Amino acid sequence: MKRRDFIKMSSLASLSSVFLPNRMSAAFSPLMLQSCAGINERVLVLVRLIGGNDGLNTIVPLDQYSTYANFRPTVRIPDTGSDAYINLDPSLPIQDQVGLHPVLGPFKDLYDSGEMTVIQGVMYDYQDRSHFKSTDLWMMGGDGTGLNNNPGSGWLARYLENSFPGVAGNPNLFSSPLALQLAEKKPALLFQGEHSHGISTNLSGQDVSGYYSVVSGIGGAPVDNVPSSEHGDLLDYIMEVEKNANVYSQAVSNAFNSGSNALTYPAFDLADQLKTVARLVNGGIQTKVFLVSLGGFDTHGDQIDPTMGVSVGRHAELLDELAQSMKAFMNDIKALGIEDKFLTATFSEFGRKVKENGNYGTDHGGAAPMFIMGSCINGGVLGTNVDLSEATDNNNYQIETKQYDYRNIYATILQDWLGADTSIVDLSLTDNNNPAASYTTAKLDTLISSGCKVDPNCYIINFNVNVNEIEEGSDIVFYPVPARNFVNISFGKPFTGKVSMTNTSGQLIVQKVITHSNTAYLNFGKLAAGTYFVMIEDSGNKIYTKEISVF
Amino acid sequence: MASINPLNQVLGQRFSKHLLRRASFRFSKQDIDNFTVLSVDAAVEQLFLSVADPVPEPQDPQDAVPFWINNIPLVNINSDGRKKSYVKGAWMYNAMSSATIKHKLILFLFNQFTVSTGTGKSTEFFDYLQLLDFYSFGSMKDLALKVTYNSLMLKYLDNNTNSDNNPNENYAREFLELFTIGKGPQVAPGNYTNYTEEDIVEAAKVLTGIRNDSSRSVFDPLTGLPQGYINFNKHDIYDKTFSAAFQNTTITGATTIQDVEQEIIDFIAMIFDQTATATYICRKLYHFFVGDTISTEVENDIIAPLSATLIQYNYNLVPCVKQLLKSEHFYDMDDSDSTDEIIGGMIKSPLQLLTELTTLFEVPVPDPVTDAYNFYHLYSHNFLMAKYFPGAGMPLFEPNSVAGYPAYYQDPYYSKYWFDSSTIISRYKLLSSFIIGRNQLGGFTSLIGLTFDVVDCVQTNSLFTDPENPSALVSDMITYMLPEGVDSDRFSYFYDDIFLDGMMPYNWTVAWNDFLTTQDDTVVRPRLEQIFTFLVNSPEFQTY
Repeated sequence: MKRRDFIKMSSLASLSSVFLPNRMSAAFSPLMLQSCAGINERVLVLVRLIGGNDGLNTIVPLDQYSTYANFRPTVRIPDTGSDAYINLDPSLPIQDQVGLHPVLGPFKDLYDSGEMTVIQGVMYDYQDRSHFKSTDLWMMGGDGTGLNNNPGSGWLARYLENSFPGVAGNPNLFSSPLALQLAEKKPALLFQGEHSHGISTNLSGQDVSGYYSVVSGIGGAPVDNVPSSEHGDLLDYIMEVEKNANVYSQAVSNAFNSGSNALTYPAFDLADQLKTVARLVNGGIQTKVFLVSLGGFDTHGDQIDPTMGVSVGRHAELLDELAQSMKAFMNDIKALGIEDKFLTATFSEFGRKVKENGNYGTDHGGAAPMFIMGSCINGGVLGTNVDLSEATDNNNYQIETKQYDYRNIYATILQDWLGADTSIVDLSLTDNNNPAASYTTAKLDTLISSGCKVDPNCYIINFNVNVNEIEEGSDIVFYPVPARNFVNISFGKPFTGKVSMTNTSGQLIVQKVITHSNTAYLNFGKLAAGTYFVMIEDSGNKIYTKEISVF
Repeated sequence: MASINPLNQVLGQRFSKHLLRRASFRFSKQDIDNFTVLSVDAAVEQLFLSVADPVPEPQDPQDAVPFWINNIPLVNINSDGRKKSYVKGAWMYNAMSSATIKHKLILFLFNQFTVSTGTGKSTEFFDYLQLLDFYSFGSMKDLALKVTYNSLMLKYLDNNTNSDNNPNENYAREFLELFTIGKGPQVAPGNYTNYTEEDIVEAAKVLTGIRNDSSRSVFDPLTGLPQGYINFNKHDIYDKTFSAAFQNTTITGATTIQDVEQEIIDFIAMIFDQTATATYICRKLYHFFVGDTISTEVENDIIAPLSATLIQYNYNLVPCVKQLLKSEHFYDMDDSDSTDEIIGGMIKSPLQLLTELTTLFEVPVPDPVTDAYNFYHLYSHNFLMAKYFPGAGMPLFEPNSVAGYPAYYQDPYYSKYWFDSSTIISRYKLLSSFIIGRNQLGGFTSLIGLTFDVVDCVQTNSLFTDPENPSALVSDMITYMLPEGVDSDRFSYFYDDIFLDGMMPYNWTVAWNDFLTTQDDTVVRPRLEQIFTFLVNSPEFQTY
C-alpha cells in the first residue's frame, strides 16, 4: 500500500492529510486527536488592499461624527439620506459605534451573522507613509524602528519555512505549493523565504485549469555543470522556478479541475480570485496561505464623485467590489460545506489622513481598521473608535494611537487559528529590537471562537512531512506477519525513537519509546483481526509507517 | 576592489555582446561583429552618437487623419487606448532600429519618473516620451523641472489638484521618495534620513498651483513640447521651510507667477544640491545597467565616484553612464576572476528578450509605413501590448505602481522578478507565437501580423556561416545567443540530443542539401524549430 492510501484510510482528520503534526504525544492520544482534529486543514486567505485604504470612510467613528464631518467637508459619508452610513451595531457603547460606508451592506450582513470582526486602529510603530516601504514592512513583519526596519524576508515565508521544513520547492514531500498568489505579477515579499525559493506559486493572469498542460515540459534539460558565478546563480534560480512551475502546476490544475463552486460570484476581479481559492480548496489543494488583492486604494483624488455623492467614485467602487466579493466567497464556502477551513483577513499598507486634501481625496495616513471574516471567529468590534482630536496641524492630521499592532493580530491567527507553537510564531514574527519578546503575549484572545480556537495541547511545532512507507527489502523488518498478540521489529541498526501502533481510525493501541536498540517488541494483546498501522519516529523526526495484518 | 577605471582594450566578441545587450535594444550579428573590433572607448562613444528615429511620429492606419499626434487638443481622439499601443509600438520599432543607448536611457528615465499610460490621453503619453527623449542625453535635474510641468504627470500624481488651501501631497511625496533623493532609513518617527514628513508637507506647498493644459496650446520654449501652466491664485504664497536634511532651507513665498517658477527652480536645486540625490540616482543606474547586488565595495568604489561625476556635470547622464560602461568593473575586469560577476548576471526583461530575439534572428517585423495595419494593430496592439508584455510582467510603459518595474528597484531580487511561475508561459511561448504567426500565450490564437520562418532565417541570416554543417550551425547559435560559452556536456545536449536527435551529422548535411535542391523542408524545418526553441528557452538565454 502506498503512503497516500495509508493516509486516506486513516479517518481522523489530523491524520487524513499527507502531513502529520509533529507533536507526537498529542497526536497519539485519542483524546487529543479529537480536539486537534482539522487544524492542519485550515487555511488563511489574505486580502491585500493596495494603495492604503481610507479607514475613516470605511468605518466612520459615530461618536465623533461632527468632528469627522468638519475634517472632511466634501468626502464625508453623510449621516442622512440615501448615501448615509450604515450603523454597524447600534447595540455597542457609543464610543465604539461605527458607520459603515453605504456600499458595505454585505459587511453588515456578515457582521450580523457573527462572521466578521472589525479590528480598530491597527498599525505599527513609526508608521512609514511610503507605499513601498510600508508594504514591505507589513509583509516582512517589520516596523519603522531600529532593527525592525528591514527584517529581510516575509513573515509568512518564515512561518511556512519553519512549519514545513524542507518542503518549499520539494513537491515529492508535499504536492501543493505552500502558498498561492492569485494576482499581481510581482511575487509578494510575504512569501520570500530566508532559506528557500518556491514557497509560493504565482497564478496571476493564468488559466488555472490549463496551467499544467501549458507549463508541463516547458524548458529543456537542466544545466549540469552550473558555473560558480552570478550567472550560475541565476541559472540555478531559473531552473528552480521552471521545476516548481512544472511540478506544482499539476496539483494546482488537478485541484481546480476536480473542485467546483456551489454559487455564482459577482463579475469582479477580486471575486474571481476568491472563487478560484474556494474551488482549489474544494478540489483538495493543500496550500496553507492564499494571497488575493485589489488595487486602487491610493485615493488622492476622485475618491468620491462630487455630483453623485459618496456612493459613486473610486472608493465606493473598490469597497463595493471588496464587500460583494467577500460575501459571495463566504456564501460559496458555506454552500460547499468547507467554511470551517477558512479565515480571511484584509490588510492595507496604511490608512489615510483624517483631513481631506480638498481634491475629493485623502493623503497617506497611519492607523486603519482590519476586517476578519470566517465561521470560526467571534465577530464583533475589537477596540474602540479612533480619537480624531489627535489629528492636528502639528502632526499633519494623523491618528497617533496604536490600538493593535498588526503583528499581535497575525500572532493570534498563527497560533489560535493555524495552531503554530509559540516557538514558531516567534520565528515568524520577531521584534528584532527585543528578540526575547513574543507577540503571542498580547494575542487578541477573543478573535477566534472557543469552538475553533486551537488548544495549547495541539500547538504544532512542525508539520512533519518526512513520512516514509517501509517498503519490502527495507532494513526495518517486522515479524511475524500476520501477527497475533505481538510483533517484533528489527531496525537493522541501533535505533532511538518511538514506536506506536494505531487502528484504522487512528486510535492509539500501544506506544513504546526505544533507546539505542536493534529491535523492539511490541505487545498489543488481543485485538480484532484486521489491518493496523505501526509508526516509527526516529530522533530526527523522520517517520516510517508499516501496515500490518493481525489475526 | 571594484574599479571604475577605464578598461583600455579592444572589446572582443564577449564584451561586444555584453555591451550591446546592456546598453542598447539592438543585438544583430552585424552590430556584434562591428563592435567586436572596436576599443571599449570607441564602442561606448558610438552608442552615444545621435541617430534619427526611422519612425519619428506614429500613425493610426485605421484613422482617417493619418498623422494625429502633433499638437492636436485632447478632445475627440478616437480609439485612444489603441493609439497608446501605437505610440509604444513605434517607440519599440525605433529602439530596435539602431545600436544606440538612447532608448535604454529613455526607459531608465521613464522608470525613474514613472507615469502610467492608464492615465491621460495617447497624445499626452507621446508628449511624455518626447520629453524623455529630449533629455535622454541631458540633465536629470532639468528633466525633473520639466516633468513637474508635464500634463500627464500632473494628472497621474494629482498635482493638478494641489492648491494653497487644499494641498495634495501625492506628487511631493513621490518626487522626493522615488524621483530624486530617495528614502533613507527611518531614524525617528517621520524622519527618513534624506527628508522628513514635514518636508513633504512643505514640498507640496511649493508645488501648489500647477495645472495641466488640455488644449495642448501652452508650449515649453526649450523643448517645444506642450506643458501645463501656473495658476497663481492656487499657489501657496507663504514661505516654506525645510528640515535639517535640507540645511533648514527656506524658500520665499512668491508674489508673482515668475516667483512661483523660481520657487520650483529653487526647490529642485535644493534637492539636487544634496549628495544623497546623486547617490540614489547612481544606484538606480547601477541596477539598470550593471547588476542586482550593490556590495559595500561597489558602493565605495563605483557608486561614489559615479555620483561625483554626476554632480560635476550638473546631473547630465552622459558622462556618468559613459564612465560606468567604460569601466573595468562593467566588464568584470577589476579582479583576478573575470568570469564570476556581471556578465550573464541579470535576468532579461521581457522587452530585452523580445528585442534580442527580433534583432538577432531578423524576425520580419511588419514595416510601420508600408504595412501599417499589421505593424500597429496586429503586432503592436493586439499581440505585444495586449498579450506578451502584460503576460510577461512588463506591461509596457504601464507599470502597476509609481515606483516603476519592481525588477529595477525591489530588494532583494531585482531582475529575478522578471522570471516566475506567472511569467514563464509568455516568455517561453513567444518564439512559438512568432513561428506559428499566431498568439500562443493564452486566450484567442489571433494573428500577430508576422510569421517567423526558421528555415528562411538559417538560409539568409549571416549568423549562420555554414548551414549544411550541423556542428557549425548549433555552434554559431550558441556563440551569439548565450552570454557565456558552454561546456562540452552542454554543447552535446543542444547538438546531439536536441538537434541531431539520433541522426548522424552527415544526415543533416544531406537533408539540408536536399532541401536546397527540392525546396521540400519537411525534414529540416521541425529540427530547426526544435533547436531554436530549446536555445531561446534555455536558462542561459534568459540571462544577459
